[in-house]
Amino acid sequence: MDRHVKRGVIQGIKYFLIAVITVVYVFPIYWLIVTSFKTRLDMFAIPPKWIFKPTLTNYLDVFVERRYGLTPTITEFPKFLFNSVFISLASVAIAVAFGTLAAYSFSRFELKGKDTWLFFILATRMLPPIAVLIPIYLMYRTLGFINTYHGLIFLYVMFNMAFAVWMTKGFFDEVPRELEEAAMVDGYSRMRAFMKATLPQALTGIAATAVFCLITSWNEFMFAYVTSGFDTRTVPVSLARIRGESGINWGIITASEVIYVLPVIIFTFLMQKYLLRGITFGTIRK
Amino acid sequence: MAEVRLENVTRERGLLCPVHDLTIEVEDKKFVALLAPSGSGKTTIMRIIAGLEPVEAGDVYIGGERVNDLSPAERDVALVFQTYALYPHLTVYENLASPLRAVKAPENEVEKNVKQVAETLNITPLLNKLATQLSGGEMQRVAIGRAIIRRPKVYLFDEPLTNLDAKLRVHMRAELKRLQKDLGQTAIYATHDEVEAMTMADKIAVLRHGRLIQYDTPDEVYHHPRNLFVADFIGSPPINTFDCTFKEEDGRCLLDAGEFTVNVDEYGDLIKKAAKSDELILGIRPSDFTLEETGKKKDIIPAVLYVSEPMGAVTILDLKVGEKLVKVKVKGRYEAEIGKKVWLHFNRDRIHIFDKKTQETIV
Repeated sequence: MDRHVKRGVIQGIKYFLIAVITVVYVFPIYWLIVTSFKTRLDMFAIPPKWIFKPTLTNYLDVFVERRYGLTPTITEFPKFLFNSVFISLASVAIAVAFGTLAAYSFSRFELKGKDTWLFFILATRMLPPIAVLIPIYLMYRTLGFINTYHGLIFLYVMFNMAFAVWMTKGFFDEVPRELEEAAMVDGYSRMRAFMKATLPQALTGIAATAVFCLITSWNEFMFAYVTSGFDTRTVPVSLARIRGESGINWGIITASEVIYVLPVIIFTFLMQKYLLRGITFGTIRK
Repeated sequence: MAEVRLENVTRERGLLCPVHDLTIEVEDKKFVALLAPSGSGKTTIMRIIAGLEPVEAGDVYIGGERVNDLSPAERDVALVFQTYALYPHLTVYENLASPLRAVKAPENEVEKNVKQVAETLNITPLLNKLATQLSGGEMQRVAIGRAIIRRPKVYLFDEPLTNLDAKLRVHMRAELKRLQKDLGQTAIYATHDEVEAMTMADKIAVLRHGRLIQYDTPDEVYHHPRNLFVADFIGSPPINTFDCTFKEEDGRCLLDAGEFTVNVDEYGDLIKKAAKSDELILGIRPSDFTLEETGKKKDIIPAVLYVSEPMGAVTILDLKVGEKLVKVKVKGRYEAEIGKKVWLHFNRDRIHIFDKKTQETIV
């Protein structure tokens, strides 16, 4: 076979595979979004309707409850959305703040048993979460942490801390020590030297870490399902509980899901440069 | 008043090259060079004085005050790092202003001082550039500017010229020396370049493996090195050495180097008193030889021209004495055929004699 043809065929196979993989990944999201704009009739049409008249009814239904003979009321969804946002942001803020300080210490100071400590921190991620679900539930019940904000926040801080420490430590390792030493000789205290010289250098890395942690917290379902109550219910838990009066209300479910995944998609898209830096970080040493 | 005194300072743990039981005093307003090959603990000493490195034993005094327990900020010293360590995310202006911001100086004072320092160092056009946009020489100036802006008690320079190209290094050498004289402050300068140490310093401290070998004026260090290491380290090209044995024949004291013998009657008693054995090393600097066409004089070594390296004002001649290569520095240009036989005359007052075992200087 001619070499050019051969290369062309190989290229063609590559693109075909990429296309298949892309469809497998992207199609569910496409279908989700499309379905959220369909009427109940269009959703179940066979063959599936590719072209239809979009409707916003589903989105309205997510926020406003309309029953025959009653005045429309606001649904609980905004509350759950707030819970998700609040719990995620709070847990990430705490995990990243403390993780950064811990990582800086691990990176800069000679600590006794440093490697052991770092291993301990990492070890919290080694257990499959479901293995500690029951113990944590019992612990939380005894402590009165069930159905509280601080309970969930505390849990997510725990999940994210290991990741935050290990990841930001890598970034701090890369910032030359001389920078903060220069600042200390300039007359700054260690803390101020850290803020002035080291932190700005590690900031993109810390931002990437924060995004990863945010996605973890935002997506977490299992522990939220077990330890949250009505007041602290997060969006993923609420999605699992949506039922309609006549069968499953797919319209509300898909619309809620779109609202739920959209921030993550947009965020990931905007931050992809930093996220990549986070993922590939440490693979190349200067 | 800011003399710096280290007393029995030891720092052996940690990642840096160790320093053992170091005692040294740098007088006020003096420029002292710490001269040592890499890996001798120069940087460790600088960091100890700056307060970035703890000591395990001994005391550090700055201006008479014991500063062991003071933080770098409290010691009022400035350190110019070998890597410059400018803040990459800040402009030159902010880099220079950093020490003033640390003490929360008022804005108008910051501006006045930054402008003045920028003027002194010829970096005014760079003030708005980011530190990462500068060339090596510019970074170096900014790093020095950051050090001098707040008039600290002591300046520490940790190989500040090493990362510059050769021409700029020679230029900055003079600039730095003049700057130190103008500022009239104590300065300690770490370097592995003997030329920098010789040309800039009031006194040179030669170190090896974290220990002080000799602490003297440049002239003393050059003309009266304490041991073979110092003699070999200082001077370019380095000192020529010949293994030789000490002999006494008919009441005359001789050094027998195989290819030649030297009469050292005047040093006989000294050698007999100080030497551990008959095995000695004779050292003669390349510039202490003169070339002779005949071998009639006393104190003369026969040699064969191996190659000559003309450098314009001087010529370095590589000559073979037996199997040994000897370097000789002569004025002007020296034209001769390779393989030409010549004689090297040396002045006996200028020779150095070392004990082969201890490497200590005898003469």
